[in-house]
Amino acid sequence: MVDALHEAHRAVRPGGTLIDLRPDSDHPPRVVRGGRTVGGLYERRDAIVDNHFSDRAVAGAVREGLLKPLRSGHFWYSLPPMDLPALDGWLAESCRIGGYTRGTHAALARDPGRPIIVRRALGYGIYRRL
Amino acid sequence: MSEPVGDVGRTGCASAVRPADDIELRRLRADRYFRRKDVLDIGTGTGRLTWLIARIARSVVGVDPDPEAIRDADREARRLRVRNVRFKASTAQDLGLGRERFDTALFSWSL
Repeated sequence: MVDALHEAHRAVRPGGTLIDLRPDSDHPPRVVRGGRTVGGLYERRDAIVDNHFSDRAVAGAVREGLLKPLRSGHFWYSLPPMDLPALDGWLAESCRIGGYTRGTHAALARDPGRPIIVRRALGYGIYRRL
Repeated sequence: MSEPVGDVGRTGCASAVRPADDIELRRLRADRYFRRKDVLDIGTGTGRLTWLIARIARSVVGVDPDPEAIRDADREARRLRVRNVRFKASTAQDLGLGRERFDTALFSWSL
């Protein structure tokens, strides 16, 4: 991550912009049905650790004077609606998401055919290349 | 309703399901950073965001370590006849772009 940041810094002209966009581990995915949040999903530990490494690498680049923070934040987006079997299948293959938070699957299983929407958060940081 | 849910990454990693529309660029206020700029898209995959950026950028270079994804992106670029986009199979740690310089670099879910 540190190497990638240095390489990107080399590739951007002074005064240019570097944008870091990735899933936001501080805001785990939510499970919504009928317009109401009925539970959540948790991220795998290694995904969270990776995210923290990336955060530290960016903070290091700022400390080194390579980058100047301009703006950061997060936003939510919705995956297309799916039913419970589809969501189970998605989670079984997910590299990043470990599974349901406590009680979520039980709540969904009461009506497995009803559409479910997963809402995920993306974090971003925008930096000026110094 | 048990159907694929969006744009699944080439690796088959289901967590790579990405937003289907341009919400990312809208929320980043992309115009300011991409319009008439030379842009480097790091982690381009098959070019999901690259195509959107190319509509407003001067040029876009998309890089990704997956050569198969890059082949697909190249094929799509030819099919769409997009002339301001180029793809390259390389890693974020070693972009292999020589002295080429960009106005904006985007780490697309790749840092």
